[in-house]
Amino acid sequence: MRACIGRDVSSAGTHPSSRPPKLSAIRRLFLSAIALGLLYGNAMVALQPPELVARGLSIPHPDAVRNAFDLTSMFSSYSASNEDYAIFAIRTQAGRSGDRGRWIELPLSDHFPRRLPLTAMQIYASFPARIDGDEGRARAWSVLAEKIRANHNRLHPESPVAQIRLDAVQWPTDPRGFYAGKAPGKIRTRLFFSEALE
Amino acid sequence: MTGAMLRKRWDEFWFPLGAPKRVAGFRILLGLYLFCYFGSMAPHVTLLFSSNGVYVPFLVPDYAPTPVLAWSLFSVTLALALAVALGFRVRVTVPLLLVAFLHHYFLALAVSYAAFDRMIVIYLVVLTFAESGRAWAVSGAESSAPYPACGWAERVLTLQAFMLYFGSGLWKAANPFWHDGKLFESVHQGMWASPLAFWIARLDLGPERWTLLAWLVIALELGVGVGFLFRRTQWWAMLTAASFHLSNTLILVIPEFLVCVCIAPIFASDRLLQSVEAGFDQFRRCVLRRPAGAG
Repeated sequence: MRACIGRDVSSAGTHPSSRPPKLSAIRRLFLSAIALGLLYGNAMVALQPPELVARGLSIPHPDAVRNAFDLTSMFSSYSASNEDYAIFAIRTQAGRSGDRGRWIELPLSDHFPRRLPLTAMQIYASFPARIDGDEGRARAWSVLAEKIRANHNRLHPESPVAQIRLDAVQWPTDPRGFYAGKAPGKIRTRLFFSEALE
Repeated sequence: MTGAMLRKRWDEFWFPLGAPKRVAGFRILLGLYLFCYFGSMAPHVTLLFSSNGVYVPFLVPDYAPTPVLAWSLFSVTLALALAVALGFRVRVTVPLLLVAFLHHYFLALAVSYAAFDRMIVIYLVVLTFAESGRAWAVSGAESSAPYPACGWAERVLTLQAFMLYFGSGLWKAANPFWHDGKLFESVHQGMWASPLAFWIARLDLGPERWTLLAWLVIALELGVGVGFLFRRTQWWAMLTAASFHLSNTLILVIPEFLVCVCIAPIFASDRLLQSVEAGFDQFRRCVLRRPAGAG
């Protein structure tokens, strides 16, 4: 293995030293521990996809380490629909009079400024969900809703809101473009989080 | 095998004399990448990282600073990324950049569970201990002699590359959704897809060709992973991996994964290293007005 992955130092544009420098024993131990930790974390995830684990091919994998090193499972499922997100909120009895007590839609970009796939990753709170399942995700959504409400009320003091609702708007995928399949009759709205009324 | 022999073999494997220029090249690319990565978030600092923002802290209390302080910390992070790229006091700036990244990560980025963010953390941890300021650094460069800490970093990054690509290929090979090309076709019509991806989707390739393409991706990832293990194939593997990430950027709009290309200098040919060295010397002479070899 050493001969395989090593590189020839003398041909790497460096000048040979008469006496090679050394690392202290403590530093070697420390660097060895980091190398082993990285190797273990990577091997634990990379070399055992769920299908192999189900067949009993598994090395011990604490969830925290597994989640930290899960770099290989991108694009592991798919859907026949695309989706966008909508934030709705109930207007309080304060501020402008026209829409008090009604649900209004808040501009998504006021709260999620990055591109849609990154917004999707943030809004689905994938990491808390992996750690604590649905409970972790629900806690994350509560925090998110609280921040959205505070941000909206700060940006739009003339129309304060009280309760936040998060919806996914879905439509069939279409090779003509991301929104091409978003036609009347094919759109489905899925409520995935609603704050409890205080 | 005796304990002493085992230890000797261990040391020979993990601590070979490494070329400081390779690790320095990695440092420069990672610094520039992080400058662009954070730069892309600059218009949204208040919303992403301040107490006036919309974020979910992960595993930590809500320590979001005021907008002014958030901007200050963000500006320092950008400056640190540049300092790391330039090689300015890297023993201090690299660990500080790691801390700055973790500050933003746990506050707002971790909740998304993005693989590229965790990749950045791994690279920064390795760079922290890699003695990357021994070459191509504007200050703090000690010597360009071979050094075991640089060799350690080369080993770790090589094995990391193997695990990343081989592991990704293995996961896809074991995943039934990848076996008939349907997932691969769907990705070209999903939210990550670029106009180029939709154009490919409109070619009406049919299930057989999508299946073939899906298996080609699996074979490519497995092959690239194994390629990183052998000296003769490392540069080919790196070139293929870089092309793969570039095409991913154009087809799936995930430029964040270009972080994986930062390790390219680890596998650079001697000729390429020498050319870069000549360019760096010229940069020192012209911009810094310091002679080559002045440290």
